[in-house]
Amino acid sequence: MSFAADKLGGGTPGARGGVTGQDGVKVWTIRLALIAVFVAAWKAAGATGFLNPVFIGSPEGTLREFLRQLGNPAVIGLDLGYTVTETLFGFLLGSASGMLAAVILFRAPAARQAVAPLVVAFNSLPRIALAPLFVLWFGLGIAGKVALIVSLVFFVMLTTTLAGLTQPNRDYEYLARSLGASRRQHILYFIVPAAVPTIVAGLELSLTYSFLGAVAGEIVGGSHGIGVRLTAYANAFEINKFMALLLLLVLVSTATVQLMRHFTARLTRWHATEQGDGL
Amino acid sequence: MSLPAVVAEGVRLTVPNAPDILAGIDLTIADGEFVAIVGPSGCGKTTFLNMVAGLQHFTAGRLIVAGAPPQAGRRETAYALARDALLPWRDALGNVELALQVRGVAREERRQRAAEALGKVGLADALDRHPAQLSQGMRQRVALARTFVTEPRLLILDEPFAALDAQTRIRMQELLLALLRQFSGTMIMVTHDIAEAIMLADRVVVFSNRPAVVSAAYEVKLGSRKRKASEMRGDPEFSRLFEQIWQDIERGFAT
Repeated sequence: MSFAADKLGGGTPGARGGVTGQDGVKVWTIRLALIAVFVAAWKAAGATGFLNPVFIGSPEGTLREFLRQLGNPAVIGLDLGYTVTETLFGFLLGSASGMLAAVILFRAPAARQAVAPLVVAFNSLPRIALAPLFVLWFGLGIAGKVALIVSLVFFVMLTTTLAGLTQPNRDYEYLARSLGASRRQHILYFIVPAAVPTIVAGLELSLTYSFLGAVAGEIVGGSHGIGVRLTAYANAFEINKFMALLLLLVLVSTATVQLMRHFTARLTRWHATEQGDGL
Repeated sequence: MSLPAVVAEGVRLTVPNAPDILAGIDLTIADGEFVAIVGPSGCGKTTFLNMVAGLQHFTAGRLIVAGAPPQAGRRETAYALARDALLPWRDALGNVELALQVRGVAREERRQRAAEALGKVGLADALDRHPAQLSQGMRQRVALARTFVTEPRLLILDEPFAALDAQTRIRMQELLLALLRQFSGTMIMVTHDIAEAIMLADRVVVFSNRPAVVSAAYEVKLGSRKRKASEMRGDPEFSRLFEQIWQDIERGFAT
């Protein structure tokens, strides 16, 4: 698993707080300019005939559909509800079990060594390939998507939590021993706090993966959900509706990630400071 | 006459398929004595210190610390590592508190004692700052406060000021000297700075090159512990000792 996406996504949560005044204006100017360039290129590609608007839709058409979509919440509300429910269930189940497994493996080094290659093997398996199997086992409802998300998130959290807990620090170890810390105190005061930023980064990644798992699962086979609706729009060449729904999905998932950041920022503020982002 | 704080007799450390590290250290440190260990870098000074702290085993010989075999985490011992080893997620107060927290001191009491200790090192107004917001010198002050807050009987310092620039180091030495004036226990420190050793210790012990033995020891006769660091550097006895120890270490490199 790579953290590259996370880095692009704004880095450590505390980093936002450091951007103020003049810098804030600059950052937002660049941000809006990038979006404007993208929209202009999209419009130009369709208008000049470089790309066929039948396949790529148009910015104004997408905006129109997006507003219509908001004006008529009952239509997409059900599908969005399904997707969000799957995402949250899968995320909670997968991350809780992944962290629990990591703690168990952390406490049992022999077991850790035994399962390490198996974890690598399973983690390198493209989990989407399991989606048809989950449809077969759990049907077209929520359970199959939750299973797919758990298969993704469990390993993300297992590897990140374990990496966080086992990062070696000889200084802390000597300090803990020389202070006479018990094994319990060593874990509580030294190992767990040091692991928190890694675990939080893992959780953020997992939440993004949960949305991915939910939508991908619905596309492979589902009765309701954003993925089902996206497939239907694409098949009907309703590209503007497709884009509008995609935009809504992006907004919802971004808002969810930001909400989580809001709650975890306090836990990792020291880490952001340590990285030179300022408080 | 109380028991010696540290007794080392032929303490050796041998590792398979590699040259020996300690060839046999003989050293007795009286209760209440301040001893500095100097020697060529990589000679095993810190290794010996870790043994006294109970953090590192030895392969032969006898080592007695405060009447018992060394053991890590004894209540009356405080060990300051070469790097400050501050926990970045705790503020200055929290870092000093840690030493008391591990010992089960109640929250109110440990916060008060930690704040006092930070006051003594001149950081009364930086209690809530995190390590990333402190300069190297301030970080080292926090580490010193953490070392002293448990009111140890045996103070073990491993190159406490190695990471500091020359000027900050001198100021920190003055601070440590002031703290030591109120300290009645035993201090054993490792340093590569000969001047620091002479300034802070009653006795300077020279380790030879690896495999290390004690190659020389010098009583520092510079007006006992009332001395001031600034006056000391002008003393002819200081220069004589410095020269002598310098020669000893040089000889260690030659062999």
